[in-house]
Amino acid sequence: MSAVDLVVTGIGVVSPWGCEPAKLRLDGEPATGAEESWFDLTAELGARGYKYVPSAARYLLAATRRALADAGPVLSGVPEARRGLALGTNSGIASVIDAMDETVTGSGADLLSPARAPYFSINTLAGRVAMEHGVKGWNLTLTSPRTAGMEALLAGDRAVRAGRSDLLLAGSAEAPLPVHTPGHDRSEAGAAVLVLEPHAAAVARGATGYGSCRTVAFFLPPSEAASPAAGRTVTAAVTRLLGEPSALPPVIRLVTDPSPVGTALAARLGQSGSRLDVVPAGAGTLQPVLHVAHGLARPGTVHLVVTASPDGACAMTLLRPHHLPDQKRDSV
Amino acid sequence: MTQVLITGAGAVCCLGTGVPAIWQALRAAPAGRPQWAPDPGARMQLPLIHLAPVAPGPEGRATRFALAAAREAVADAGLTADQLAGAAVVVGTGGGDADHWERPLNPGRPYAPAFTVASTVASALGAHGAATCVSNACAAGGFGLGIAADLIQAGEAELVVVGGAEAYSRVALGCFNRLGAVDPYACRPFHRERAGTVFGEGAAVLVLESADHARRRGAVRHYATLAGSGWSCDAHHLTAPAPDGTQIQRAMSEALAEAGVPASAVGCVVPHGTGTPQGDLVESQALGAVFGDRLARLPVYSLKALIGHTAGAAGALGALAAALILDRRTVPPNPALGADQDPACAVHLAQGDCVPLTGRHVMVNAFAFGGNNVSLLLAGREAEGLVA
Repeated sequence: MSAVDLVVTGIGVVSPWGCEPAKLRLDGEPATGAEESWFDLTAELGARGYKYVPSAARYLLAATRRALADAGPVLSGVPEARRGLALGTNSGIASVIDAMDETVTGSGADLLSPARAPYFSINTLAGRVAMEHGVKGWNLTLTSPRTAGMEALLAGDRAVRAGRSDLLLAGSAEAPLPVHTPGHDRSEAGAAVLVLEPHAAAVARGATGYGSCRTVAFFLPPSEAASPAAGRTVTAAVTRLLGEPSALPPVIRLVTDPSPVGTALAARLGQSGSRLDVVPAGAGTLQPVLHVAHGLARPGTVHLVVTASPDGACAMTLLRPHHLPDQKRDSV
Repeated sequence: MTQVLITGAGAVCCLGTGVPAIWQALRAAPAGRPQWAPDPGARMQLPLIHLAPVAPGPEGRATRFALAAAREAVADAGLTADQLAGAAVVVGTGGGDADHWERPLNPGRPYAPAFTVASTVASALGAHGAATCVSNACAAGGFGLGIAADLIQAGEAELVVVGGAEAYSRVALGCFNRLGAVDPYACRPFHRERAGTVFGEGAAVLVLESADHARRRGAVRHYATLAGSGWSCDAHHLTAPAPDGTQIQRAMSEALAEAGVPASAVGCVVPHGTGTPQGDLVESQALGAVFGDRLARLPVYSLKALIGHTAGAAGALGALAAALILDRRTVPPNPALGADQDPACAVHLAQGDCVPLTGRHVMVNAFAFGGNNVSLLLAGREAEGLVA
């Protein structure tokens, strides 16, 4: 593994929390605005070619275009075989699957749309982006509950350091759960994509980066989330991320729920002396990534974003934002 | 490079439960036929599948396959609870617990994502490393193994329980029917009359650990080394492979390069080979580009002809087969194709009896929707400077 330092040089967001990374409204409950109020398909992607593309793929395509536009002409300097993409998603195709299942069990599979049929597979969301932007290096879809978006940053960074690509697109995309599904009321919708490239490459092309981010992931078995062993796991994760357990930043943002895992992790982090902002989690992977994007685009007090899911998956992302001139912040 | 050893294995598929039973069945190469899915909701022309045995339980079906394979693998490796506490878990699955998404829906069940397979395995094992679910469709298990090896190479983990799991999905099978991608007879890779694939259920889980970790804990054996992986993406079409096979070739070449060995070191290939007309043709041509004239005599072990296309588990089951081939120095026979092999697919499918493995490495391919390609290169013990 090489010691490549990646910097974030582009951020793209489309979401009901806002579409400007520096101005996302992330302090309240999950946003539930109708898609029409925050996503204009024609304006984002054009009038043709996306009729059969599921919502999550549309959001991901739009966020990717925004991120690449924000990063400047980065693709022209990176061969297609050196571009990588990592996506985190949980419910990106949940409604697609539900509608297909209704068709198959009702009128039968013959009435499925052949243009829509490929999207039963969740990795086609990222596949669509790869086709649009010539991402031939590699393409990962991660689906770990709630953490997968942050894991995309981690796995992508690792893949670049392993020499698998020189450019990373990483983020999250979600679409609402079916209305009859438990959890629908906490559905997420939208996408967030970060463009990451080696610091030296960004400097060479004169790119103004937002800063860097670094992620660790760990697991707290729900039945022992409050155990001493779990405490040691959290301490070890913090140490891997920060060098020493006492170096936690003054403000930590934790995206989670009142499950035993979320509660135990909040208790551990709350003992650190840092101020802990607990944000109610949605049903997917998007909100943690939005907090990362916002923390880089609008540097403030939050430099550590943490998330935990009821099943035990946990991740932390440390933000090291550059202090950007207002012009750059306001342009995103 | 850190040496990444495979020190434990577990599996379940239509051939049975457990590695010994599956290896015995592979050696016998039975001519199996798929069955009709016992699902009254499967309103489609060809609801064909190779079902695998699974214990009842509250978890989703794919998770139960993964749990069975994982428990066998960690027992096989001789891992203690203390050792497992430090393990990471990576599971590839295309559809996750599809039975939680599909009808009959249970409105009384609290919301749970479909992709809790890795976290449920981690919880059952008491593993505190990251629990990562990879969903690169039919290449998910292969990418899972690549990620797991990278975790060890990066120093993020010394021990990873990794594999792939897939269960029957009515929607997946319905979509393959709609796309005309199901063979009405069987999964017949490289057959002149192949007409698509046939899904199978199952899981394979391997224990990967650094050689140092294995030595420190006194591991008594290992099957093989995971010496390299190569990743690529066609970025061509959502379902069809790029006709030129360039990115498939690159995945294979990069796996060889990462392992630091030439193509001539490979003694067997476990191909992706699913039975789709275009996929098998493109892979055959790509194999020819990588292995040249040797392809005519390089044993290709067409696993899916026996167990069907296990989708997100396929790369892991392929890696399991490769590890066993290296461990036993034996390539099991392929089901008889004879004159029915497609002459355009110029691969060497040894049939009739087991043949001795002559090379020191085995390659595994796993490709998927979205043009996701991964190749793995496994090395036998005799290829190592270090033998546990």
